[in-house]
Amino acid sequence: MLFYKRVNIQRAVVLISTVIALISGVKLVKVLAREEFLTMQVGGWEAPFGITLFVDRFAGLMIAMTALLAVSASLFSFSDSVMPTRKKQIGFYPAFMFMLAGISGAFLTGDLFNLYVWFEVMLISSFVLITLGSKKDQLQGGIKYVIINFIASSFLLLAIGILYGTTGNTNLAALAESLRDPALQTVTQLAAVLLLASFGIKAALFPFYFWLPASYHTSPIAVMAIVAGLLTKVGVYTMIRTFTLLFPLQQYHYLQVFILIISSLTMLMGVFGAIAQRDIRKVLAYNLISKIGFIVYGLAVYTPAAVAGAIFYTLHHMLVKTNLFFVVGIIGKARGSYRVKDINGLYDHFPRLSFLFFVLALTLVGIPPFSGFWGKFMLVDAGLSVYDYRSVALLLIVSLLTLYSMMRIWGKCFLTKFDTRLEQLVTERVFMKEYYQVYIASVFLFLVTLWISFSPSWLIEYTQRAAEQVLTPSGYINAVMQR
Amino acid sequence: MTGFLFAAGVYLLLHKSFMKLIAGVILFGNACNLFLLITGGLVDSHPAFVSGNDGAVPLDNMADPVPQAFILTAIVISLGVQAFVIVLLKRIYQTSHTNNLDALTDTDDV
Repeated sequence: MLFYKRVNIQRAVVLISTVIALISGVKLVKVLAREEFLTMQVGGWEAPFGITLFVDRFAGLMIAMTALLAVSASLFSFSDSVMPTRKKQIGFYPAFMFMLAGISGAFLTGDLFNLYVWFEVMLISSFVLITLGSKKDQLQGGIKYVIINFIASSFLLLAIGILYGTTGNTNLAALAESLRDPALQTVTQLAAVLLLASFGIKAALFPFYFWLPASYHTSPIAVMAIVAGLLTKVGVYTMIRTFTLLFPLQQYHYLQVFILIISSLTMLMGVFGAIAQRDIRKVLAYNLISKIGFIVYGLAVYTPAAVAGAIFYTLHHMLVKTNLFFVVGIIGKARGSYRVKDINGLYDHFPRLSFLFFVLALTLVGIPPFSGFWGKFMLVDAGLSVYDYRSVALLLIVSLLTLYSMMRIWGKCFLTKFDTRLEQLVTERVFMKEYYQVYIASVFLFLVTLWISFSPSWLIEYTQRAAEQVLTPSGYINAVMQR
Repeated sequence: MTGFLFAAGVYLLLHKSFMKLIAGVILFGNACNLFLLITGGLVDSHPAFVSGNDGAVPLDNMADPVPQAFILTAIVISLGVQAFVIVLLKRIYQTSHTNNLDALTDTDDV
């Protein structure tokens, strides 16, 4: 923000800082492969009075992935095709950085009120990002987004009030301990439901997800890419954290059933929405909702294998979704429109783009050997191991429908002949030369996806260990309280 | 009274007129903050109690400072959100020339 109008300096600062964040994130993941947890007390105040910063393997993975997406999103936004310079000048990069700070803070924190604060940082920056440019539909989408997320944050605040009033602390570890006391549980279950509502709205679960298709596609595509990949995942992360640590679903069986039902409905409704859309950004937005349903299903099943599948799927989905949005951004620039009926002949003109899209679409759906398959396999395997045949069948049907929604785009936009009544636009080579940053960003993420796809074993094992950590709250509690 | 504020806030939030929406946001935010006040056990004549196992014994008539810190933070944050909502609604009024939320359907096309 110091260099308000000088975008070039902003770009350099953003790129350097996100790369540093990425390096730190990767190092964090490596360190956590050896150690169990990393904690730090802010200001030296002892837990549970002070604020704890806490990283376990799950949080470490999320932080690393956030940094990765940040690097590629900043690369993507360098190109003027997807983010005009004027918009960059009015504060895209500061808002972007603030949002990343809020997201990383939310992953790092061990205190519920601190979580609220980071949520708000993240939220308000995302408000700015989504409405940047002040076009009519942006503002309309923006107001819906703002009001609903404001309510979600308020629910979180109310839950904090209840939990603090009954237990006297907001440190997550101390809360987890205090909530074991059965005398408190009747009141705190209200807080559990409020938290479910709050994080459910953020994560775009059924029946809370309607803000997402109304607002996400109105923002500039660079914003949409980064926001889609990250914000809902923060909701998912906090949901997993809450319902394994504070209100473990083993104890609250009715919550488990409820979350199971919600996640199944989310999967289904999301993909139905995706099939109906004619704007490819909205197709991706609805598919995003559907995949969130998959991830929360992993939480609901609540075995280590299921949670590992959920974590793996989260990471894979963040990568693929953001990358798909990048590709869609390129399509939009290449053809000037995002509506299916306006786009045709992409395969003839943009073969490399077509390749990217095709592989990413397959990855999203879950076709082997790509990373989506491994994630889905883990989830299906976990579902079958608890004999939950209905939901697994639903999951597979939803995958099929997802395939249909993506192949619709493929067939209508890529494989059709170019409508020669429209003006002939540039060939891909020229396009690539001018907009190389977007290709670099997309290919960068694509390579990471390929890496995970073809050697998934380290990540599968890592997520399994992460899931075990997540599901044993006593480890978390001991690590924090003994500092 | 807090319950009344909540009710009024939610009622107004559900309206389609912008002015009532803003009023709803403000009231709802304030209601949340007052809720924190209540659950923090902050009543003027009542000494604060701290349940839980941390063993601290409060002095007589001492109020618990922590929920006050929460409320302060929450007030500031809700102030920021309110300001943003007000400006956003003003811009929407300027671009869409309507005061009616139900008329904002440009994003709903399939």
